[in-house]
Amino acid sequence: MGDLIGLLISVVVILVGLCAGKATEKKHLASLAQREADLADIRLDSFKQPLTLSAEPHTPTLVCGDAVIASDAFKSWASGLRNLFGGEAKNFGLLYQRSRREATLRMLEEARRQGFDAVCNLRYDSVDIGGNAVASAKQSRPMATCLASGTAYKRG
Amino acid sequence: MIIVNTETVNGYDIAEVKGLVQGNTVRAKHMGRDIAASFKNMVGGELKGYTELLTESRREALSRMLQQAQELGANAVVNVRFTTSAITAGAAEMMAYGTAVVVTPKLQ
Repeated sequence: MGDLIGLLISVVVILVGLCAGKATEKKHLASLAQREADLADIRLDSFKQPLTLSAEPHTPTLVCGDAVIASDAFKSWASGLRNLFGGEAKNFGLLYQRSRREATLRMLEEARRQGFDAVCNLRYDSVDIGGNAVASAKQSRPMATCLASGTAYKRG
Repeated sequence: MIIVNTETVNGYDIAEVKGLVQGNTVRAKHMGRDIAASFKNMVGGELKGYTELLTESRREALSRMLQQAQELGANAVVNVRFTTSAITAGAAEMMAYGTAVVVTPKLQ
Protein backbone atom coordinates (compact mmCIF):
# COMPACT_ATOMS: atom_id res chain seq x y z
CA MET A 1 0.00 0.00 0.00
CA GLY A 2 2.79 2.41 0.96
CA ASP A 3 4.57 1.68 -2.31
CA LEU A 4 1.41 2.36 -4.26
CA ILE A 5 0.93 5.73 -2.58
CA GLY A 6 4.58 6.57 -3.26
CA LEU A 7 4.15 5.68 -6.93
CA LEU A 8 0.97 7.73 -7.14
CA ILE A 9 2.71 10.77 -5.64
CA SER A 10 5.56 10.41 -8.16
CA VAL A 11 3.10 10.24 -11.05
CA VAL A 12 1.27 13.34 -9.80
CA VAL A 13 4.56 15.24 -9.35
CA ILE A 14 5.65 14.33 -12.88
CA LEU A 15 2.27 15.36 -14.32
CA VAL A 16 2.36 18.68 -12.43
CA GLY A 17 5.90 19.12 -13.73
CA LEU A 18 4.76 18.46 -17.27
CA CYS A 19 1.89 20.99 -17.19
CA ALA A 20 3.56 23.70 -15.07
CA GLY A 21 6.91 23.22 -16.80
CA LYS A 22 5.41 23.61 -20.28
CA ALA A 23 3.50 26.74 -19.20
CA THR A 24 6.61 28.31 -17.61
CA GLU A 25 8.69 27.48 -20.65
CA LYS A 26 6.17 28.98 -23.07
CA LYS A 27 5.93 32.16 -21.01
CA HIS A 28 9.70 32.42 -20.76
CA LEU A 29 10.26 31.89 -24.49
CA ALA A 30 7.68 34.59 -25.28
CA SER A 31 9.34 37.01 -22.85
CA LEU A 32 12.77 36.22 -24.35
CA ALA A 33 11.56 36.86 -27.91
CA GLN A 34 9.96 40.16 -26.87
CA ARG A 35 13.03 41.46 -25.02
CA GLU A 36 15.39 40.28 -27.76
CA ALA A 37 13.37 42.31 -30.28
CA ASP A 38 13.59 45.36 -27.98
CA LEU A 39 17.36 45.03 -27.69
CA ALA A 40 18.04 44.06 -31.32
CA ASP A 41 19.62 47.46 -32.05
CA ILE A 42 22.53 46.72 -29.70
CA ARG A 43 25.36 45.20 -31.72
CA LEU A 44 26.54 41.95 -30.16
CA ASP A 45 29.46 39.84 -31.38
CA SER A 46 32.31 37.68 -30.13
CA PHE A 47 35.11 39.59 -31.88
CA LYS A 48 38.04 40.36 -29.63
CA GLN A 49 37.90 44.07 -30.38
CA PRO A 50 35.16 46.55 -31.29
CA LEU A 51 34.64 46.57 -35.08
CA THR A 52 34.09 50.31 -35.18
CA LEU A 53 34.33 52.76 -32.33
CA SER A 54 32.44 55.98 -31.82
CA ALA A 55 34.55 59.12 -32.27
CA GLU A 56 33.05 60.41 -29.04
CA PRO A 57 35.62 59.68 -26.28
CA HIS A 58 34.27 57.09 -23.86
CA THR A 59 35.52 54.22 -21.75
CA PRO A 60 34.51 50.66 -22.68
CA THR A 61 33.46 48.59 -19.70
CA LEU A 62 32.77 45.01 -18.67
CA VAL A 63 29.09 44.01 -18.56
CA CYS A 64 27.74 40.72 -17.20
CA GLY A 65 24.48 38.85 -16.91
CA ASP A 66 23.55 35.74 -14.95
CA ALA A 67 20.68 33.27 -15.13
CA VAL A 68 19.85 30.00 -13.41
CA ILE A 69 16.95 28.06 -14.89
CA ALA A 70 15.58 24.99 -13.15
CA SER A 71 14.46 21.82 -14.82
CA ASP A 72 10.93 20.60 -13.98
CA ALA A 73 9.91 17.21 -12.62
CA PHE A 74 8.88 15.92 -16.03
CA LYS A 75 12.12 16.90 -17.77
CA SER A 76 14.17 15.38 -14.97
CA TRP A 77 12.17 12.15 -15.14
CA ALA A 78 12.42 12.03 -18.94
CA SER A 79 16.18 12.50 -18.72
CA GLY A 80 16.31 9.45 -16.43
CA LEU A 81 14.56 7.48 -19.15
CA ARG A 82 16.91 8.94 -21.74
CA ASN A 83 19.82 7.51 -19.79
CA LEU A 84 18.57 4.01 -20.59
CA PHE A 85 19.26 4.48 -24.29
CA GLY A 86 21.57 7.48 -24.45
CA GLY A 87 21.34 10.00 -27.25
CA GLU A 88 20.51 13.67 -27.34
CA ALA A 89 18.56 15.09 -24.40
CA LYS A 90 16.67 17.82 -26.29
CA ASN A 91 14.77 18.95 -23.20
CA PHE A 92 17.95 19.89 -21.38
CA GLY A 93 19.39 21.43 -24.54
CA LEU A 94 16.44 23.80 -24.61
CA LEU A 95 16.89 24.52 -20.90
CA TYR A 96 20.48 25.63 -21.53
CA GLN A 97 19.39 27.77 -24.46
CA ARG A 98 16.88 29.53 -22.23
CA SER A 99 19.48 30.27 -19.56
CA ARG A 100 21.97 31.58 -22.18
CA ARG A 101 19.41 33.83 -23.82
CA GLU A 102 18.28 35.13 -20.43
CA ALA A 103 21.86 35.84 -19.29
CA THR A 104 22.65 37.52 -22.64
CA LEU A 105 19.58 39.76 -22.34
CA ARG A 106 20.51 40.79 -18.81
CA MET A 107 23.99 41.65 -20.02
CA LEU A 108 22.57 43.73 -22.90
CA GLU A 109 20.12 45.45 -20.54
CA GLU A 110 23.06 46.36 -18.32
CA ALA A 111 24.92 47.76 -21.36
CA ARG A 112 21.89 49.85 -22.34
CA ARG A 113 21.44 51.14 -18.78
CA GLN A 114 25.00 52.45 -18.92
CA GLY A 115 24.39 54.14 -22.28
CA PHE A 116 26.29 51.78 -24.59
CA ASP A 117 25.01 50.47 -27.92
CA ALA A 118 27.38 47.57 -28.66
CA VAL A 119 29.01 44.63 -26.89
CA CYS A 120 32.02 42.68 -28.16
CA ASN A 121 34.08 39.72 -26.94
CA LEU A 122 31.02 37.88 -25.67
CA ARG A 123 31.89 34.93 -23.42
CA TYR A 124 29.67 32.31 -21.89
CA ASP A 125 30.57 30.40 -18.76
CA SER A 126 28.59 27.56 -17.31
CA VAL A 127 29.01 27.99 -13.58
CA ASP A 128 28.66 25.80 -10.54
CA ILE A 129 26.34 26.99 -7.79
CA GLY A 130 26.46 25.65 -4.28
CA GLY A 131 28.60 22.67 -5.30
CA ASN A 132 25.82 21.26 -7.47
CA ALA A 133 28.36 19.54 -9.73
CA VAL A 134 29.66 17.32 -6.94
CA ALA A 135 26.42 16.80 -5.02
CA SER A 136 24.99 13.31 -4.78
CA ALA A 137 22.24 12.36 -7.23
CA LYS A 138 19.66 12.96 -4.52
CA GLN A 139 20.96 16.38 -3.51
CA SER A 140 21.87 17.74 -6.92
CA ARG A 141 19.38 19.95 -8.74
CA PRO A 142 19.05 19.69 -12.49
CA MET A 143 19.53 23.32 -13.55
CA ALA A 144 21.10 25.28 -16.37
CA THR A 145 23.41 28.09 -15.26
CA CYS A 146 24.98 30.75 -17.41
CA LEU A 147 27.24 33.72 -16.85
CA ALA A 148 27.54 35.93 -19.94
CA SER A 149 30.19 38.64 -20.08
CA GLY A 150 31.40 41.08 -22.69
CA THR A 151 32.88 44.53 -23.20
CA ALA A 152 30.35 47.28 -23.84
CA TYR A 153 31.27 50.26 -26.02
CA LYS A 154 29.73 52.91 -28.26
CA ARG A 155 29.86 51.92 -31.91
CA GLY A 156 29.18 55.39 -33.32
CA MET B 1 39.02 51.73 -12.43
CA ILE B 2 38.50 50.56 -16.01
CA ILE B 3 37.58 46.92 -16.41
CA VAL B 4 37.13 45.11 -19.75
CA ASN B 5 37.40 41.58 -21.12
CA THR B 6 39.14 42.71 -24.32
CA GLU B 7 42.93 42.57 -24.57
CA THR B 8 43.31 46.34 -24.72
CA VAL B 9 41.10 49.26 -23.75
CA ASN B 10 39.93 50.96 -26.91
CA GLY B 11 40.76 54.65 -26.96
CA TYR B 12 43.60 54.12 -24.49
CA ASP B 13 47.26 53.03 -24.68
CA ILE B 14 48.72 50.53 -22.25
CA ALA B 15 51.62 52.37 -20.61
CA GLU B 16 52.63 49.74 -18.10
CA VAL B 17 51.75 46.14 -17.25
CA LYS B 18 51.45 45.52 -13.51
CA GLY B 19 50.76 41.79 -13.65
CA LEU B 20 48.08 39.22 -12.98
CA VAL B 21 45.35 40.00 -10.45
CA GLN B 22 42.65 37.72 -9.18
CA GLY B 23 39.79 37.62 -6.75
CA ASN B 24 37.85 34.66 -5.48
CA THR B 25 34.98 33.88 -3.16
CA VAL B 26 33.47 30.63 -1.98
CA ARG B 27 29.75 30.83 -1.44
CA ALA B 28 27.55 28.31 0.28
CA LYS B 29 23.85 28.06 -0.47
CA HIS B 30 21.50 28.24 2.49
CA MET B 31 18.55 26.08 3.42
CA GLY B 32 15.83 28.60 2.61
CA ARG B 33 17.08 28.92 -0.94
CA ASP B 34 17.44 25.18 -1.17
CA ILE B 35 13.84 24.55 -0.16
CA ALA B 36 12.59 27.13 -2.68
CA ALA B 37 14.82 25.48 -5.28
CA SER B 38 13.42 22.03 -4.61
CA PHE B 39 9.93 23.37 -5.29
CA LYS B 40 11.09 25.15 -8.45
CA ASN B 41 12.66 21.90 -9.62
CA MET B 42 9.17 20.46 -9.76
CA VAL B 43 7.45 23.18 -11.79
CA GLY B 44 10.42 24.63 -13.67
CA GLY B 45 11.37 28.28 -14.07
CA GLU B 46 14.12 30.54 -12.85
CA LEU B 47 15.85 29.78 -9.55
CA LYS B 48 15.94 33.42 -8.45
CA GLY B 49 17.74 32.67 -5.18
CA TYR B 50 20.52 30.93 -7.08
CA THR B 51 20.74 33.69 -9.67
CA GLU B 52 21.19 36.17 -6.80
CA LEU B 53 23.85 33.95 -5.29
CA LEU B 54 25.67 33.92 -8.63
CA THR B 55 25.40 37.71 -9.07
CA GLU B 56 26.63 38.34 -5.53
CA SER B 57 29.62 36.04 -5.86
CA ARG B 58 30.55 37.47 -9.27
CA ARG B 59 30.50 41.02 -7.84
CA GLU B 60 32.52 39.96 -4.79
CA ALA B 61 35.16 38.19 -6.92
CA LEU B 62 35.43 41.23 -9.22
CA SER B 63 35.73 43.67 -6.32
CA ARG B 64 38.50 41.62 -4.72
CA MET B 65 40.29 41.53 -8.06
CA LEU B 66 39.95 45.32 -8.36
CA GLN B 67 41.31 45.78 -4.86
CA GLN B 68 44.46 43.85 -5.84
CA ALA B 69 44.79 45.97 -8.97
CA GLN B 70 44.48 49.13 -6.88
CA GLU B 71 47.21 47.93 -4.52
CA LEU B 72 49.49 47.43 -7.53
CA GLY B 73 48.81 51.00 -8.63
CA ALA B 74 46.95 50.04 -11.80
CA ASN B 75 44.04 52.01 -13.23
CA ALA B 76 42.60 49.25 -15.43
CA VAL B 77 42.20 45.48 -15.60
CA VAL B 78 42.11 43.93 -19.07
CA ASN B 79 41.20 40.48 -20.43
CA VAL B 80 39.04 39.59 -17.43
CA ARG B 81 37.86 35.96 -17.23
CA PHE B 82 35.61 34.05 -14.86
CA THR B 83 35.87 30.49 -13.71
CA THR B 84 34.03 28.43 -11.12
CA SER B 85 34.75 25.16 -9.41
CA ALA B 86 32.85 22.95 -7.01
CA ILE B 87 34.46 22.55 -3.61
CA THR B 88 31.99 20.23 -1.91
CA ALA B 89 28.27 19.56 -2.09
CA GLY B 90 26.97 22.88 -0.75
CA ALA B 91 29.66 25.35 -1.77
CA ALA B 92 31.27 26.55 -4.97
CA GLU B 93 34.07 28.93 -5.83
CA MET B 94 33.78 31.87 -8.19
CA MET B 95 37.01 33.37 -9.41
CA ALA B 96 37.72 36.41 -11.56
CA TYR B 97 41.15 37.11 -13.00
CA GLY B 98 42.76 39.52 -15.40
CA THR B 99 45.83 41.59 -16.10
CA ALA B 100 46.31 44.84 -14.19
CA VAL B 101 47.66 47.65 -16.36
CA VAL B 102 48.16 51.39 -16.38
CA VAL B 103 46.42 53.03 -19.33
CA THR B 104 46.59 56.55 -20.69
CA PRO B 105 44.06 58.13 -23.07
CA LYS B 106 45.20 57.89 -26.70
CA LEU B 107 46.42 61.13 -28.19
CA GLN B 108 44.21 62.12 -31.12
